[in-house]
Amino acid sequence: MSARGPLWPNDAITRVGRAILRAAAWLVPGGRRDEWLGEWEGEFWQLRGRRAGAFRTTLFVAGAIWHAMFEWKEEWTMESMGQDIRYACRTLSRSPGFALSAIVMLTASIGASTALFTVLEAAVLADPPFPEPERLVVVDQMFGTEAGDQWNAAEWGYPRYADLREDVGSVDEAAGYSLRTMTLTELGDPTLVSVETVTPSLMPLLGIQAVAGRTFGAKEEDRGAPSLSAMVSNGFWQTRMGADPRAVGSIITLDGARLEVLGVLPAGFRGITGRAEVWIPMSALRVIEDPSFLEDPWNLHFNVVARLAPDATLASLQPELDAFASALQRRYPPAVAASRLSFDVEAVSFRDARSNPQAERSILALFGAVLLVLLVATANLAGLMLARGTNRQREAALRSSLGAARGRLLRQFMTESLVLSIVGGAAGVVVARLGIDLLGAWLTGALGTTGGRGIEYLDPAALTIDWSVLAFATALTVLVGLAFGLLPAWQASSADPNESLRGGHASEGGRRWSLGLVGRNGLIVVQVAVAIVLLTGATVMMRSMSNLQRLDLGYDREDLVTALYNLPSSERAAGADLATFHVDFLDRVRALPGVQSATLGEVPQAGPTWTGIVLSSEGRPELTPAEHTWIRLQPVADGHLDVLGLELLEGRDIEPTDDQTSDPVIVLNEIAAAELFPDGNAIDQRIEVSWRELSGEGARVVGIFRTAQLGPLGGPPERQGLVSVRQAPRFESGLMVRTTRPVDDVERDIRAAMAELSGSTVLNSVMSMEERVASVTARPRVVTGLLGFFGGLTLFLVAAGLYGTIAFVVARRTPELGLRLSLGAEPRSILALVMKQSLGVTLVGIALGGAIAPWATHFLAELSFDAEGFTWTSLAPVFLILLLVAVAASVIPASRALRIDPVASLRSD
Amino acid sequence: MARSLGLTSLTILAALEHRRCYGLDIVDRTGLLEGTVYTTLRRMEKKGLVVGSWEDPTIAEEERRPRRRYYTLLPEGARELELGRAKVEWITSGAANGVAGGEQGG
Repeated sequence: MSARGPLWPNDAITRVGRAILRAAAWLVPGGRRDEWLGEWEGEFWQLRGRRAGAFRTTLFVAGAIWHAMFEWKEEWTMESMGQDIRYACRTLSRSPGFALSAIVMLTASIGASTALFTVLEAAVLADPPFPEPERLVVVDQMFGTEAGDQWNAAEWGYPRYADLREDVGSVDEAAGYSLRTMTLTELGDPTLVSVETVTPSLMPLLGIQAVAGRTFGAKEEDRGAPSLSAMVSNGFWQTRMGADPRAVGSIITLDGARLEVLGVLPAGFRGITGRAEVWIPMSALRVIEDPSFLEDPWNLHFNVVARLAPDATLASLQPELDAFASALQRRYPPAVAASRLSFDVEAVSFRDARSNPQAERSILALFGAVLLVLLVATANLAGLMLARGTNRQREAALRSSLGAARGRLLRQFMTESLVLSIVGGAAGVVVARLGIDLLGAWLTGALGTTGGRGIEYLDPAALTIDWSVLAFATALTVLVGLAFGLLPAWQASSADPNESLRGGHASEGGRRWSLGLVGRNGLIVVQVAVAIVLLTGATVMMRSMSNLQRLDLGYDREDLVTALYNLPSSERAAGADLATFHVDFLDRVRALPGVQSATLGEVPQAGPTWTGIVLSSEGRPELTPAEHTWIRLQPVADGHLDVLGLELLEGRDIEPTDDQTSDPVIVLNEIAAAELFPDGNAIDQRIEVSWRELSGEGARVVGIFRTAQLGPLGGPPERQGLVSVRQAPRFESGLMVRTTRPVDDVERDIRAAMAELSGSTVLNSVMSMEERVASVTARPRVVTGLLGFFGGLTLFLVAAGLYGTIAFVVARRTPELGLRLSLGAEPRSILALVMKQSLGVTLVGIALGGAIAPWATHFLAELSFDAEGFTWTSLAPVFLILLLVAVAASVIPASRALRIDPVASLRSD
Repeated sequence: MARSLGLTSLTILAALEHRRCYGLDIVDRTGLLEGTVYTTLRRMEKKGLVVGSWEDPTIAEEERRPRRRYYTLLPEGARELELGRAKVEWITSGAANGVAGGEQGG
């Protein structure tokens, strides 16, 4: 400040006021800024001279800010924006190749991100579709052995449920529900329908009202007078009842019981399980199944959902439930077998109870991957824009020397990238919409739509592009537009007019670390790093998948046709002899043409599953209650090991003579035998299991087979025991048929065989074993496939980006390289010079990617069937591929450097 | 002029009628707030009704203060002010209701 400069009062108000003025000046467009600040400073000096008070000064400063905002707004008129957009379109139309490839890249990556966000929103972020979902909790009874291997019995008996409603103050309302499959007759061909048996409190608790007729009320609650009634879903009413307006009051027949339709529920509502078509009151089970059904506290057959009182939380509920659990234990002393069980009542939020962590993790992984692809596309575009920007520095310099403010130029260039991203984003939303229509059902099906407790929580039909998805797509579009436009715009507008106008482009070769060069290299590094992460992820998943293909599950899954069935309650009530029913059916199947052999039991990966608790073992006479352990049991037919191709290690298989007249027998797998008979020689020893047929005297071990993966894939091997279906039959069973006939073909015969035996028993989910394994592995296969695809795409973008950059650098340095050649440099050294740059950048990218990859693959390891997860050896091929791509992408443009004619190159500039 | 000026603009033009003013001067004479005065001035400057010019730097240096920016009425602004006055007269005279005779202002 000169000696004759303005004399400002030296006080706080003046200093603060001037600081605010200077800050506000930044809002004013560059061309007007100095003038604006000068004028307001002059005014402020006058104001201070009058010793104005704080209020007056505040008013003054507010006026200045207001004026600055006004100036800012004036600059952004529709007119000037229109100019920018028209100019951007003209510029882009002059390089249609660039514009088109940019739009395609943006459309694909924004479209894929938007589509996956839609899935993410529906599957992970969205609340359950009921009012005040945060107050909904699932209440579980937990039984466990004292040894600590606790499992979730989850089911309730009616008296216990009634006590819960009565005794626990933090629970506003509770409802019971269970899902079962029942046979619908007298409405076309017999078919299986999914039925929720519910307490009448469920619909009010979920806030659901009937659209025609009414929901269940007090009459249906009455246990003394069972109500034979039903409610139907909107879909059921339309497809099965032909949208009959007189549906309310009509009769439907389920498992032989005639039920009056009381109401039709709203469209889209499929019950709390998300799968029901019909609802019947729990009291109806007294007629349909068993008169004592609702009186027996140990008849555990339904789940309980509750609504918390407005002031209660999960934390405040739990102490109440602990006290309630002890009260229940005292009120209903357990039967002998169960006395050694520990007992608990626990609540979890409905949101958590229905979540499917594996599916959520898959969706998150894919969403992350697709965002990474978007990042690469953005970096790639920024690289392309930078290259264009360098060429356009002359244009920018010219315009700026003609008086265009720098901010105005910056805006002009940013408008170009925003126009591209908005076109790409809009097309991306359309692509996402089409993609969801075409692939949504497939994708959600493969990733899994069934959450905890079998709750179907994701309806592919409900995947829609709603406001939040649009907001996401818009935000992404603007962000991407700004991201790939800012650096190039900055570079182009910051060019020194003199140098650019005078010198052409010698500058880049001379100044080795220009903004453009550093920016471009940085962009390549980002792309290489992301490619490493995606490809490593894909490699880890692929290896896990190929392990799975080769995986020896311990049984022979080729040429095996499987099905599930469940004896309807009408048959059970008729007193059919279970063992005879199963064996009759099996005999009919075995007699079918082309059937080599057949058995009953648990279909691997599909069920049904049964468990029991080992109460005593002759191999471990000291076995105390604290050491009781559970075992998976299955009632199987004779020759079971043979049919499945399981390996018998000792003793014998189940035989036809193992029937009700003979001693109960059991065949153990290796782990169960080793655990229950630590000294070996298990054969002919006895164990006692918590099943009625196998307790007391217990069952005699007659054989041991090699442990196989009969349970869930990827899970640890479990203790397994095979018992004879003739000795311990259950209502449900699975059928496994060894045949070389096509599935469809043999399915028809099997269904006919069942129809001959029982008109109301329907075979469910007939499938080859290969199909079943494939459907279980669908999720990791989809994740692997998409990761591989994204990785490949990234690799392509990296190659294109490297090629472009190297070609650009060579073109830039042509005069310099020409000079070197003319001064006698070896062509080989020129090649090395160029290659050094591309490989250097690639190696930095590889190092960065290598540092991130272990963390990313750790996330994926949970999804694979492979405990190994990340290893450095899995990274090695990926490194190699990227290096090869880098060499290939740079060798073509680099070799151009060798053909430089020194004389021509020097003359050209 | 397609649209006649509002009262705020006319007030500022009137303040500038016989002398050039700087911003705070106008604020004092009209009782309007700074934010209003400056945004209006800027609009009128764009329309060519007033013009702002910096005072001679030597005067500011003499007085050891920042330079002031003075605003002057341009002929177009004077014309607008006349038209505005006529309109205000017409409004206040009750001519619109035919109470008194008078020419209809623009």
